[in-house]
Amino acid sequence: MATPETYNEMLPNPGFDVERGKTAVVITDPQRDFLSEDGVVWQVVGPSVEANNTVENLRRLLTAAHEAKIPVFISPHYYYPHDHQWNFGGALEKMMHAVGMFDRQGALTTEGFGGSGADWHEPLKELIDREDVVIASPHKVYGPESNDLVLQLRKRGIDKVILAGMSANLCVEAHLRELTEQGFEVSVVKDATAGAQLPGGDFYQAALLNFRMIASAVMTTDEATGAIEKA
Amino acid sequence: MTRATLTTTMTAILVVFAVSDLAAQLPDPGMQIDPSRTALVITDPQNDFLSPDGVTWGVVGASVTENNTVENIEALLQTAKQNGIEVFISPHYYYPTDHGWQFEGALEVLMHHIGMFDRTGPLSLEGFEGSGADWLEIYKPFINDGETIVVSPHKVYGPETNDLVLQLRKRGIDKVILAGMSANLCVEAHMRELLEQGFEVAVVKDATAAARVPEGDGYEAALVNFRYMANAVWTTSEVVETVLASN
Repeated sequence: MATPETYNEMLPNPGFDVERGKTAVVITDPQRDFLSEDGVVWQVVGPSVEANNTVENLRRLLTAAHEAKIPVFISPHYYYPHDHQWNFGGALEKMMHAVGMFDRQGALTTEGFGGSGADWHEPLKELIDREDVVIASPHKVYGPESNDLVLQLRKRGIDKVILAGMSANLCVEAHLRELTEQGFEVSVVKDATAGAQLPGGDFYQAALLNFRMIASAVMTTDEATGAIEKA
Repeated sequence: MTRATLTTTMTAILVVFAVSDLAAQLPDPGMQIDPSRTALVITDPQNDFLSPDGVTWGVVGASVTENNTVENIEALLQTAKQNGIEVFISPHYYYPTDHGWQFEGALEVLMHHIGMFDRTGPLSLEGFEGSGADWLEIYKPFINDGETIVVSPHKVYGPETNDLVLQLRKRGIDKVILAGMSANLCVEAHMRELLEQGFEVAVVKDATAAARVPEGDGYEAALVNFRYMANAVWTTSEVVETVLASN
């Protein structure tokens, strides 16, 4: 029987081997509204982003992946005007819509996009705007159920994912959970993400507990880049 | 600074303040219950979670006892049945072939290792009665009444691997009252997937519970995510009152 005393010994670390050809790096929402000081949620996520050194860690992770030719997939978050006509939304969805987070003017226009909250965070642009990076279509709630990320991974024979990005308990955890359900092996890079601190709780701490239970491995950026370099 | 830049900067500042304001007053979207479109969904109402003999009682028992989870789930089942709200159960079973999987997450490895939710096979009920995979005894009259829809088993945490979403849609359900075990795992996984699939979801926070482990309290982690993601977070007595009020 599992008890609090035996849990730590009983809960294994399944581990995660980076296998060339089968492994990808997936980054959720590397966008200005989360990571830039003028992003609409900086006030609530900024302290966690700074404490984790999230931006620099994302840079290191992307750089290591590119140097090792490990494919990189981005799952972005955009809302179009028609998304604001939804009949209902959860609490945080309502808030995101109200503050115009990730807003774009339309599915087929980039007017006003450059430098907006929906755009890539500037320090990450050179590592994302490359021909070998796959940009999936936007997810519309938190997880990859509403975009083509799973299809894109499978079309390239990927079944192992190193996951990072924003934000820890929402889109990162939603991607961890859905990819796990879809039969991928998933490791999470715990300091290449961050979460909001809001009344009612610390999102980052909630995410860490679930990462540990659900993922195959929880790594630091040092560990992840080391494993990528050795692969 | 140009006028346009100034306007943009001012807007950004205002929006940042607006977030701070909203954080303090997070909207509570709420969920209207229309009995013909609303179902009660219970995850894992099984002995391995809810019985003192279950294999996880050592870590979940305190939370189950404090929340009065067993009785609250019973009250939900009773209220739903009395008010014509359809009841769906999403169970968790592992068959011997599931133990041939080549990889799992940490807690999956643990669940497989301790024989949680084990059945002898998909087409055999040998040894099932009273096992950890069986319903908690007091729920059997509600679940085995010939009306409750027991969907196929989920295999990780969420309903991606079973027919729950199809069964809900086949009956025109688009609003779900969600409860069961355990809060941050299968309940939260069902909440998240149902939200992604376009359902409205209200979670009943005292008709669930979770493990307390050295890394933290699974129930507290779940409450944070329920509050920010779900359409509504209710207590059992609120559900009982709301459902009765809608009829």
